[in-house]
Formats: sequence, structure tokens, C-alpha cells
Amino acid sequence: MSNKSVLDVLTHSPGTSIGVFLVAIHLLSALFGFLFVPYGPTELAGVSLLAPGSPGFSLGTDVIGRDYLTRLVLGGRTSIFVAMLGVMIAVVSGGLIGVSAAYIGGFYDDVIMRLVDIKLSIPGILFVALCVVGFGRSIPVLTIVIAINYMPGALRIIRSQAMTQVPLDYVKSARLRGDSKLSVIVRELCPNVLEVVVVEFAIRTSSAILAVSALSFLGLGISPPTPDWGLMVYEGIQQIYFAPWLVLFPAFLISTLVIGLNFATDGLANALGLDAARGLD
Amino acid sequence: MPLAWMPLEALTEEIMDLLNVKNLSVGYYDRFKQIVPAVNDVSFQLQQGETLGIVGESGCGKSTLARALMGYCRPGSLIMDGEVRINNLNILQMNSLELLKLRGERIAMVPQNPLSSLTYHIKVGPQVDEILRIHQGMDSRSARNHTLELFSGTNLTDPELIYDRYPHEISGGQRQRVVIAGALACQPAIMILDEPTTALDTTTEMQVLQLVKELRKKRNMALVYITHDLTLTDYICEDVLVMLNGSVVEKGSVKRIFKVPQTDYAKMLISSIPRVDSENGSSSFRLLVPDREPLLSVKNLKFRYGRHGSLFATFKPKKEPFVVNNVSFDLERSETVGLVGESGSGKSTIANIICGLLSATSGDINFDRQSINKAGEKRSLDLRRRIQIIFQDPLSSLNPRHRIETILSRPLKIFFGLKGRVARDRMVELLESMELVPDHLSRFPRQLSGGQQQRIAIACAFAAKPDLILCDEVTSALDVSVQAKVLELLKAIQTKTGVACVFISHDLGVVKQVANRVIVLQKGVVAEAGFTKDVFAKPKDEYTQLLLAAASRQNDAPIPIHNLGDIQI
Amino acid sequence: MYSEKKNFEKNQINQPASGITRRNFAIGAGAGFVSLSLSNLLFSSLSMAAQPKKGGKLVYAGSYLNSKHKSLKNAKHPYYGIEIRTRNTYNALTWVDEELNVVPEIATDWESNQGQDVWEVTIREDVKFHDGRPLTVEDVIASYNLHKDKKLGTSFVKKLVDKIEKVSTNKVRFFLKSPSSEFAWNLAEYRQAIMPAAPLDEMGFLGIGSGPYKFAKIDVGRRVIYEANEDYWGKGPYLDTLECVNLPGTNPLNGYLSGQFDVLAAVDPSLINQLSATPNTKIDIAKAGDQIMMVLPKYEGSPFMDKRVRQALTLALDREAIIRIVFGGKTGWASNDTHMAPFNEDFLAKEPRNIPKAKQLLAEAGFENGITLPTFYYAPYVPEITRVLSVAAESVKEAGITMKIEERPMAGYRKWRVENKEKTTKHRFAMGPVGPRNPAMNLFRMARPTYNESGYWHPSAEGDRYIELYEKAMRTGDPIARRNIYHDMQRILQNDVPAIFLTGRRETIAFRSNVHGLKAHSQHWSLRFNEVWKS
Repeated sequence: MSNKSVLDVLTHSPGTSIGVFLVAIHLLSALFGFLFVPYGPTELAGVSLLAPGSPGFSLGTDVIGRDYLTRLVLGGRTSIFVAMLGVMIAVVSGGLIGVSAAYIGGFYDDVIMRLVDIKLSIPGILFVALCVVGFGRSIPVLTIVIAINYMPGALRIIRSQAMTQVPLDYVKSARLRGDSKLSVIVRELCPNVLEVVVVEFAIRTSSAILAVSALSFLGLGISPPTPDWGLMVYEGIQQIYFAPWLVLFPAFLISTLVIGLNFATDGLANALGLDAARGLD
Repeated sequence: MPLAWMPLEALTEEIMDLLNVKNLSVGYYDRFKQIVPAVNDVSFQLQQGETLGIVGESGCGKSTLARALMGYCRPGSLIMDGEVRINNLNILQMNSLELLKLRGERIAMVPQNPLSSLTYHIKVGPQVDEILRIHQGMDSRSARNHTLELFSGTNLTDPELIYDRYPHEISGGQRQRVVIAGALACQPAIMILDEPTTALDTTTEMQVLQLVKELRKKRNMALVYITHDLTLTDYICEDVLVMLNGSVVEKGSVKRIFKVPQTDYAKMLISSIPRVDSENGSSSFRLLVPDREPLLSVKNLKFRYGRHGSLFATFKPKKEPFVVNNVSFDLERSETVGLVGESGSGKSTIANIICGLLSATSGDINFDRQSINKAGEKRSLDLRRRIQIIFQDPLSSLNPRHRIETILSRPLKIFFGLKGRVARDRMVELLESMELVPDHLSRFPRQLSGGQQQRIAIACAFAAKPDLILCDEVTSALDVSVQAKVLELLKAIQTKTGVACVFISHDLGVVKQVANRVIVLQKGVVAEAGFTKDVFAKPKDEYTQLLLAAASRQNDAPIPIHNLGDIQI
Repeated sequence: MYSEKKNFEKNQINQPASGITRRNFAIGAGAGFVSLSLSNLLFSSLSMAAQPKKGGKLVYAGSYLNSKHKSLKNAKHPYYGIEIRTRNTYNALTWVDEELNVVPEIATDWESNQGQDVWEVTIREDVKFHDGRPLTVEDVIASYNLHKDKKLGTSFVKKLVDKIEKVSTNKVRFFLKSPSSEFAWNLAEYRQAIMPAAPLDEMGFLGIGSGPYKFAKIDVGRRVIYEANEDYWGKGPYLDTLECVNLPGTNPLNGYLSGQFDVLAAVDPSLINQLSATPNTKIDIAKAGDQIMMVLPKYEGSPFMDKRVRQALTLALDREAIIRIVFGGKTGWASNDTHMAPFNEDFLAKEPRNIPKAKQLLAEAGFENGITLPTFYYAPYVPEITRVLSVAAESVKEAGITMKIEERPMAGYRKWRVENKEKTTKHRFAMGPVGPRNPAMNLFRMARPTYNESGYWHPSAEGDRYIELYEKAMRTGDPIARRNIYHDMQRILQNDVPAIFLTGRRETIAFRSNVHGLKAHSQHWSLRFNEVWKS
């Protein structure tokens, strides 16, 4: 609603600035990291389990001699991509359904909200894990399952925001003009829930990144030999007594990304005057 | 700050002031990152039991000042200088936790817009319960009871019924009373009311003011009353601050300012108040020779809300009382009929039925000899074009995310298929008829003032070239000075186009200005109807008499408030 | 030792007239003794010198997820032992030692007729079951009637044994459906336990065997506690209590490092260097162990229908790199695209890695610009499998082959890898773990034309010839003649490549230095604890 500049929003508070900084670093390395890494992500470049600081391998090598720096830099790409795409699908589709439920109301709304309740009563990670086991472990499956998993929560929040708009007179005016339901939903209501959609997207992306990492850790997410932090933690667990950095590095990167996203989102929500303190399912 | 550390003189001197504002300045950042002062070097004191009115047009900084008194500042603005002390504690230096406690228990605020202060998907009763449970630590049972007490204390009819309604299911006046109930729940020592009664009809307004007055006396509460309506300050306040462009231009007791306004601005404010008893209430909305067939004819209209559509309605059938009961009236072409009555009397419901937002429970409505009983979706495009409605709050009726151009282009495109150059020319024409400039097309509603917004809304309605306009409290959200301008423009365009008008207002002064005939509604029933002149001169009905008495309070010294308290509305 | 055996077989050929020839008990026993001392030489000399000490408790932990140990009802049955650890409680007629030789256990001697389809086995007479009853020929017959039973029985024997009869109080005679020149190996398989005679559907559930340990407590699927069988006929047992723990993932390692367990089985090869640096830890590495077989599905539409693609893939795989990188050069081995292990005497080395040739074959098959194979699905049978496959997938890139790999959960993997749509059993491009055995059994596993779902053979002349050769080998008593046949069979496999064998692990165990008498075994199911003691 406000006309604040993007920069104002991004530097809302020190926490926000830190968050935005962390996210920016992660996004840059995910997007352009491949230009700077010294080896290929699956290239067997050296001796296995070199400690960090070894010549040619500043962060050492993993258990089969792949450069760990390379894999760390590229290890966020896939999960960030899957999480962002999945959540984007979730938020856009959930947004449209939520706004339509708020506007159309009645039986349609009741049915949708009960379905949402049912979905929200299933633990997310369990749902995703079961789907991945059932439909295979590919990136498209993972993306769609993430989308389905995060849609109901986003739907509910966006619907409640739309509910505050539906009684307003401009919606009545549109109805009286004879605008179709679709036109009211898309033209009139959707622009007014945009901020919630953006914040929902940001909040749920961080949660989805964690979920994808957790799935990879459980052997249900991204498949080896693709570098992925969750998977790298899993691979490193076996060596944790002897080569703890194998776990610590990817875990640190997951944490910085998720913390960064949460800080940034929190600031974003505050700056937009939305309540980000709600719990996530 | 612990009191013991204060020098003794300071202690004895300062502790007397419940609220002490010293050299307070608040500024906003504009687009160029420059600080623009909104409140400029304001100082005043307030003791227990005192009432201070702050009067000024919108944009004069009075709401900003009110927020600063709560230690709150909108994002993008900052308190530049000065201090606000409550019981000698400077609240501008408090952390957010202390502020939270302070706001809960020492100082409370009734904000201007009841739409934004109630949560839409929670019933209103539990919303007040929550305040009681959090701040007073009540259990849910006693909180409920207390809420019901507060509701009846704010003269809400049938508190039990209201308790279980959602905000959108109650009228604007009822909403504001719920909000006031919520503010009173905390039993604050200082209460700030920011234009709390703007949206209320006169009788309700009086009841609320009476209630606030009583409470203030009972608990020796201090009041800060912010309004654009000078007449209200006369009723409720002892002292008044008149603000212009962020600065205090006049300060003193209300009586003195009314009698001998010192600045031109105060004089202007006082003179622009429309009065029920004023002689120059013009009737330029002339009554033309009536057609044989009335344009609009409403017969035995009844309406009540049903809980249609919900899955649970099937399990919990509940008969709602009639909101509109057996109302009949006719409207000639180019005629203006005033619908008056306090909030909840069903006047907005009638407008909604005529325009098709609601469908009547029973009764007949004929428009230009065709029945329009069906709801809006089923009406023909032409019928939809011919009946237009203008709502009370322009900010709500204009989509905040669309530019004015987009908003204005919709009716042109839908009703006339106008596009591009032609549409733009028509838009400019419409804007000019409302004394706006083409430049406004590229703005968003929030970038315009309240009066400009409402003029856009009027332009939008006239864009459809309608035969009937429904004006639902179009001026109530506007400042007095702006109100006059908008009414004038509305009158002008109506005269030019010969549109018939149903003018709904709780403000009898305004109705008297515009309407040929007036219909007085009470609880959904027509209490009295007739030519405006007659009704205003010799009200037959007791209720009409009360309404008129309340509206003309400022001139009649004794106000029959005690009577109003007995009315079951 | 091998030469001993060969001499014996020669003797056998030299006496053609006698029908059933006699095999000297002393030779069989001697072979066992020699193998024992050889492996002890490989092992720590300290344990040799010290006198076994009785008493104490040993906890053995591993994570073989391939367990059928799922309900208390059948937890004691030899077919369902926790991580197939049945040899603690049961004996079989024979045992395969650490050098992969077959040696006597309940049987003292075995001999066949000329046609290799009738075998006489002599039984020890001093063996008692845990309940004190002596083990008799009737018990052996009853046990084998169960093993060969169509419904209740178990593989290897079920399809082979036709009838078993008593010859004398210490001798039984097996009549086979088809000749099997290496039948004594079959008798050593882990499910062929000897149990007290009982009705077939009741046999084995009580857990009464003749092994060195008795069942004491069972925590289904996770843990079995055994106590010593004081009346054991052989050496030992020395321990009072033996506990076998089966835990997933890194739990066994964690437990071992925290001192909870004495023995860590199935050690992740990447941990060997670190573990040997851990105080008071000894590592023992067997000669071989399970290897990873890649099933190449052969049905319409599968790229593996083309022999050249199969050949190219195996030529492109860098098995040396896998052994070097994943197994540190020490604990891995490679086969020759058969089930054979290099130290099987009849092993025939395969053509080494050849990228140009692989590329050329692919080009001939129409994949000049490289080929993307279907996704290869695997389950985490062993901890290093992802690494093995990652290196494998990386190594075939050089030949323009893209092989995506995807891990599937262990649970239900065996069933899942066979796509069962519309009653056709299409095998996925997936893996199967296979254990090292003798040539006959190794090569038998590829000689199953009816075993279509494995996708080994598409109907072809090579397949028919392979089966023909296998049957011939089974009829051939002479090991030299047999070896030639085995070589021919391996050549067929290496040329036709019905399946690809990636690499194998060498079974590795880590244990505290106060544990003695424990040796890693290529067949992890043949590991014995009767001579293990703690100081």
C-alpha cells in the first residue's frame, strides 16, 4: 500500500539488511557460481577426503575426491530452484484459489477450506516423503510435491487477506458494473493481495529449502551425484568423526540461507505492514 | 525514570500534568528523502478529567499528532523534536514493551476508520473479549459478560446478536461502537478519539458522546478529541486547539472560540458548518413537473439477512429480524429524495437492494416500468448502467491498486465500449466536470485527498450516464469544508444531466440542502415522509423530532440527551 | 590345497567302474585344517599364540538391511535369521571357509556317481541338538525334505534335489533332478540348516539347532542374544554370550566408537584408514564380498536390446578408478561381468577398459553423439554404493554415456525394481547385490532363461548355448574339463554382456584388539563365532 522504494524495504532494519545480504550472496553464487568454481561438480579431481587447505582444494575433497568448494558453491542451486519454483506455483495457484474462495464464498469456499484443513493436518515432510516414494525422486516430482505441500497454507493466508478486500465498495462497484467473477478476482482483488503473496512466497521458500534439504538428507530428495547440501550432509554423516567439515560446511550454508531468508522476509513483512510472526505449518 | 531521582520542584510541578506535550514536531520523508514537517512545535497540557478538542481539516496533522501521543509513528515518518510525557514519563523514550503496556492501560485510541480496526474474519464479540483477556486477565466467561455490558453501554441494540456477527454483517455505526467498546475495555486514563463519530448518524453520535462524557466524569478520564467538526468540540470539549498545516493557529476554551474566533481560519471553519436551522438551506435541486409514471417505485419492500450459502446454515437455521420492513416510496425523474435515519435504520440496505447488491425478501421494485426485483448479476447491462451508486468511503470504493485512469476506463469500456483516445477524452471531460485535472488520471487513489477521491467516485458513477444515482452517505467521510464543495459539484452535474437521486444521509443539514422530499426511517420502517420543508418545519413523528433536536444541538443550549438514552434503537 | 583337490578328482576319474567312488574323510578334514592354518597365518600371530579364554560377552553390530527377520514367530527359523546370521545356532552339512573352499561340517564325507546326479553324504555321529537329542540321519532327511519342498523350501536345493534316502545310520543318499558336479557347495548354503525332525510346517520355528550358540533373547529385526552351547561338538564356543545387533545407517559405527559394540561388520570402506588409526582396533579384510550387478533390461524399447550398447557400457566403466577412489585400492575388487571372483580358480579375465572401442561401438549402434541411458535405480545395501555409482557414472561420461542414478528406499526395493505392468515383468535398469560362490553356482545364476524378469537373456543363440554348456559342466566330474567349459561360458557372458558387474567390496570387519579368533569372510553369512574369544 505504501509507496516506499525497494531500497527502503530491503534496508528496513539491521536484521533485514543482514538477511538481504545473505540471500543476495546465496542467489549470486547459485546463479553465477558455476563460472568461478575450479572443477566440475562431479569431476573426480583429487584424492578422497583431503582436508581443507590442501593445495588445489581449498576446502578439501569429499569422500570420492570431488572438490568440496565446487560442490558447496553449486550445492544450493538445485534445492533453491526446486523450492522457489515449487513455492511459486503454490503461491500463485493458492492465491488464485484463495481469492476466488474469499470472493465466491458459500459452498465453494467451505469445500475448499475443509480440503485445506485436511491437507494441513498431514505433516508436511511426511506428505512430501510419501509422494516422493510413490512417484519417484525426480526434480519435476519434487517441485510439484513441494507446490502441493505449500499451497494450502498460502491459500489460507491469502484468502484471509482477500476477505478484508471483498466487503469493500470497489468490489461491489465491479459487481454492479457486471464484471465477471474471474474479472473481479483477477483485476480487482488480486492486485490488493499482492503484498501477502510476496511475503508468503518469501516465507515459504525458506521453509521449502529446508524441506528439500531434509528430503535429500533422508535420501528422498535430490539424487546423487548432483551436488546438494542436504545430500552432502547425509554423505558426510558417515565421516563425521574423522572429517567433520564434510557436514559442517553444507550445514552452515543451509543455515545461512534459511536464516537470511527469514530475516529478509521478516523485514519485508514489517516494512509492508504485514504480520510475519505467524507460524508456519 | 524513577520519580525519586527528580528534583523536588520538578516533581511537584510536573506531576500535576497527566499529559504534557512540549514542542512536539513530527515529520515525513517525501519522495526526495526530505523531511516535511506534519506537526510543528505543538505544546499543550492535559489534566485528569479534562477534555481537549483538536480541530482542523484533513492533512493538518491532527491524526499524526494523535499517533504521536500514543508514542507511535508511521513508517517513513519520525518524531523530530519535543517530548510527550504521561505522568511525567517521556513515552518517546520508551521501548516497545513499555509502550505496549502503556497503550493497553494508560492511554487508548479510537481510530478513525472502523474498517481497519476490526479483523474481518473474527466475530466482533470475541475481538473485544480478547482485549479483556489479555489486558485484564479475565477468563472467557467473564470477558464475554463484560463485552456484552460494554456493548449495551455503547447503545448497541441486542448485544447478544451483535456479539456473534462478523464486522461486515453490522452497519458502519455499529462497527464504530464496537471499536469504542474495545477502547473503553482497557479503562484508560487518557482516551484519544480520532474522528470517532464521523461515520455515525446524529443520534448515535450523541449517544456515543454522551457515553464518553459520562465515562470521563465517572473515572475522571482525560479526553483528546480529534475532529474536523467544530460543533462536536463545542459539545464535548472544554478547550480546543485549531490546527492548520501542522501548527496550532488558535488555542483556548471552546466557548470563546465560537464566540470570538480570532483567526480567519477559525472563522471560516465555523461559517462552513451546514445547519438544520439555517435560513439559506437552498433548494436548487428543484422539483420538476412530475411524470405520470414515477422513475422508481418501491412497494412494500421487506428485507432480512439470511445465512445463505454456508454449509453450516443448514444445521443452524436462524430467523433474522427484518432490516427493512414494508417500505414504499416513489421517485420521479430528476427528483431527489432524502433517506434519513440513524445507523441500522435500513437506509443503506434499501440502496443496496435498488442497485442490485442485495435482493429483496419480498416486495416490488419497478424502475422505469420494469421490475428490478432480481439481484444485480441477473440484470441487463443497460439496467446496470442506468442505476449507479456512490458509496460513503471513496477509499473503499476505488481500488487502491488501480490508477484513476484504469478505474474510470472500466465503466466506459463496459457500458459504451469506449477505448483509447475516445475513452481518454471522455475521462478528461468527466474529470473537468468534477473540477479535477487530467493530471489526476495517472495517480493512485491514495495520492488524492478525500474530497478528490469522492469526486472521482462521482465521476465514475456519472461515466455510465445513469438515470438514477444512489448516494449512500457520500459526504459523511469528508471534512466540512470539502463536503460543501463535493455537494456543490454533485448538485451541478445532477442538474446538468437530470439524473434522479436517492440521497442517503444521517446528516439532516445536508439532506435539507439537497432533497425535495425526505423519508425518515426508523428500524426499517418509514417513520415519516413528506416534502423536506414540511418535515423539517413541523415534524409529526416523535422520532423525527428527536433527530432534528439532536441535529440542531449546537444552537439549543439544553440538549435532550437523557431522552435519547431511553430510545431502544 | 587346490592341487590336493585336483589330485583327488583325478583319482576319481581313474576309477570309472566303481560307480560311486569314495572320498577319503581324512582328505576332506585335512583340507579344512590346512585352510584354517593358512588363514590364521594371515591373521594376527598374537591370537595364534594365546590360549583361548572362556567367558565374556561380545556384541557384533552391522547394518545388513536385507533381513527377513520380521516377526517373533519365525525369528528363530533358519530362513529368517537376522542378517542371515543362522550359523550361530545351526549347522549345515558343509561350510565354505574363508578361502572359499568347501569343508565338512555335519557331513564328514561326500561322494557322487559318475553321472553326478546321485550323491552319498556321511554324517557325524557325535552331534547333539541344543535340547540334548543326538542328530541322526532322520533329522538330515527331514531337514532336506523341508529344503526341497516346493512350497516351503529354499532356492539352490529346491530345484535340484529330487529325493533323499537313508543309506545307513550315518549315511544319506541324495538323488538329484539334474546332475550337479559341485553339489557339496549347495549343501553349505546359509539356509540349508539341519534341524530336528518334525512335520514340515512346524520344523525350525523352535530355534533348536546344533550350532555353537543357543537363542536366548530376540528383539525382532534388531537384535538377537545368544548363549553358549556347552555341548557343542566342534571347537568352542568360548564366549558366554554373543549379541548380534542390526542397525541402519551410521548407528553401528557410532556404537562401535562409543564402546557399545565389540565388532563392527560391513565397514564402510571410506572409514578403514580412520578406523585403523583408532586405538585398540583391528581390521580384517576378506578376499571378496558382495558385488554390484547391473541388470540390463531387454525388452522392446530398451537401449540394452542392442548388444553394442551393453558392450560399450562395460568397456567404458572405469572399475580400477572405483576400486582406487571408493575402496582406497584395498577393499574392492572387480569381476569379469560374471558372478565369478578373481580368486575363483576358473576366473577368466575380461577385456580392460577401452574408451575408443566403446565410442566406436556406440557409433555403430547409432549413438555417435553419445547416449543417455535410462535412470539407474539402486538401494543403499552398502554404505559405499552411492560413491561407487557416482564414480561409475562419471567414468562413462568419457565415452559419451550419460547415466543418471537415483537412490530408492531399501524397503520394498526388490519388488519395486521389477516393473509389473499388465502381467509383463519388465525389469528396471537397476542393481542386485550378489555374493561370491563357487563357479558352478556363480555361473548357474546367469543360466536361468525362465528368470525373465532379471532380464539376463533375451531369447538368443548365445543364451541357449550358455545353458547347454552349463548343463554339460554339471555332468562333468573332471575339474579340468569343467574349467574349459566354465571358460567358454564366461566368454559368452563377456561377449554378449547380458548383465554388467560393477565392482565388489571385500567384506571388512573392525573389532577391538581384545577380540581373538575372528576372521572376515567373503560370504558375510558364513562368518563363524565358535572360535572367537575375548581377552
